[in-house]
Amino acid sequence: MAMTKNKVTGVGALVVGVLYFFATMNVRTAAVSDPIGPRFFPYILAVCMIFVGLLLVLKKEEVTEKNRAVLFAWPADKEVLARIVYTCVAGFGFGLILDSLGYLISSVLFMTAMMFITYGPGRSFLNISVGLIFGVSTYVVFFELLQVSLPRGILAF
Amino acid sequence: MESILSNLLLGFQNALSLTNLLWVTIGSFLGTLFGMLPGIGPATGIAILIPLSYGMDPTTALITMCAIYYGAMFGGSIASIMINTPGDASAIVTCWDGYRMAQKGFAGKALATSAIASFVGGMIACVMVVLLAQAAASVALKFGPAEMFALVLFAMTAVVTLAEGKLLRGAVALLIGVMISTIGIDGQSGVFRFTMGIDILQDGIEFLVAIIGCYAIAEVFNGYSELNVVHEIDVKKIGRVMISKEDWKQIWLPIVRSTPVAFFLGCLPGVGGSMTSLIAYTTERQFSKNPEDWGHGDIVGIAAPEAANNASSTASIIPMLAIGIPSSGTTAVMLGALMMLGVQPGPMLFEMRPDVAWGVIASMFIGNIVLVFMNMPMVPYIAKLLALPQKLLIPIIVCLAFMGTYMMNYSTFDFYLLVLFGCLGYVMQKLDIPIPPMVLALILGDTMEKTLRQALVATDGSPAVFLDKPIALVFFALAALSIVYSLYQNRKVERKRKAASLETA
Repeated sequence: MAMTKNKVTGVGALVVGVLYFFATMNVRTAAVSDPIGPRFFPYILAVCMIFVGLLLVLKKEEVTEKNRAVLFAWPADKEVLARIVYTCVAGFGFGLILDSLGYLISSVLFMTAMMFITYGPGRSFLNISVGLIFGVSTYVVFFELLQVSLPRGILAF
Repeated sequence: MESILSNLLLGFQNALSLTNLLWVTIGSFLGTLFGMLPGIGPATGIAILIPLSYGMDPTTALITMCAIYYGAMFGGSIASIMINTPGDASAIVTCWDGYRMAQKGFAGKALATSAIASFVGGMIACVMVVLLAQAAASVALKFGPAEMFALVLFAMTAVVTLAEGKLLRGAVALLIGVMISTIGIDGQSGVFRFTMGIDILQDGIEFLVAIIGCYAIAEVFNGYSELNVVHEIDVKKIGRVMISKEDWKQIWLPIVRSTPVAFFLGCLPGVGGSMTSLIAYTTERQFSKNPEDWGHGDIVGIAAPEAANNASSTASIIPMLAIGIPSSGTTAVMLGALMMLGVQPGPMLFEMRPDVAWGVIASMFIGNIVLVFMNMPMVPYIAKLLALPQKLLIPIIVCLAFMGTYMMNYSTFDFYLLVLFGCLGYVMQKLDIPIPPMVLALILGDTMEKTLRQALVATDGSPAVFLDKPIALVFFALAALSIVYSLYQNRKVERKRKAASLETA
């Protein structure tokens, strides 16, 4: 059964609130004298979060034909979710290669990957050219003109 | 008064340097561009343009960011008028009459009205900033930890309660933001909190990474559902971008009337451009001799909300600059970027760095002038860019967001956080959880905890400390009032909805 946005948020808030509460119990107290202590504020936050979560979960809501917008739903188009996953993977990949390959190569690869995600494999020439142009031009602007230090990776010779 | 004028003069000397003038122009152009493109609001625009400010001196950086901000406000209305899709939330009202005018063949006139109204509203608001900013800073200078805590609490509550009927979900966003701000070394006791054994988290999570993720990356994820949308723009149909004398006679009074109200509302946390432009629209409609024309292409229906929108966005600079409390998502991003550059906005800024504070205020005048002179003749060409395909824009936004993130700390670990916050922002959007309260909390969470603990230490943990502070009590009362008001409004909407469903049954 589909849940309302309020219910989903409420359950999420309860989970976060409870986890945060237990994490706060594990925070060490300070050796230096600190009458209020590092746990005081997080406890307040955890309690507030649990309270708000409960209010959301217990809130009475009628779902009619007219107000179906209150229901939570993932996008119907599976391609949207696929593109989101691909973007996350590309972002992680960029993080893995940036320091070793250097900015120039990895930004060209990242931009090209992003172009493939939006345009699809049918436009390979366009995707690769835009990737190249973007990578090289941002390198020139930031590294050469604005003199921002960027990793040079395997091109550091 | 004399000191204000001499300070303003100092500001103009600073803002009128060749470098600053150049950046005001570049910032205004980029802001117009980013504000115009649907899906990229001013907050995202500033967030992904932050790398531009690396290496700049703080005055130039802040001037550039302010220029991007006003530019985005100008740009938002171009999309409203041309394609009936607001570039940012505050330009929604402009769609109603602006797009109708464009459909009737008066796009040029609508665009000119929007530019002129924004200019006049912005200029009046700038004068008011000059008169009030220093006063606000001197009042804030007298605040101790108790007052500051109460003010932060009020700012946070107001942002949540004014997020149109999303009180509880707004509170969740706020609490998530404050919780994230507690990650890392506790400033008072030196204890590690919530680092989950990850060394890199000892310094806490860079809030700009979280902000760029929640705004830019989440908006990209959202944009994937409209990837194939291409807007067709026929520049020839725009016509002459100018208004006649008769038009001016019609619009000047509504502009002058809407501006001061929008300005004072804009100083309050949570009251953004979308709300002030709506208030201006509905008020002026009541004054109108022919309200039945509104929504069908009335010129005042563009002028009043555009003036109000610019007045409130100019006003929101006061709490950000003079008190150090941002009142909207966008000013929160600006504040975050400034703190990264080593400038701490707040009352001391006017004492310690008058060149920065007044340079920015002076640049607001210059920015407005640059925008009106740049946009009026260039708008047909700028509007052409609306036809850029989403498929190309999205990769560019993603890459700029990643570059900006990397250049903050030169740490690829931030990429993982960026992706994580992008997903969080997307899920929040799907759940209708407002993002601005979280952004505000990310930035103010630390101040909130610090001031609360400092205030309580003075009385050995007793909350009685707040009872002796009348200013703090006033802010607490305002916070409580905003919650009660929001509950009352929610109940009213609920009753109306029930009555309507009973009627149809």
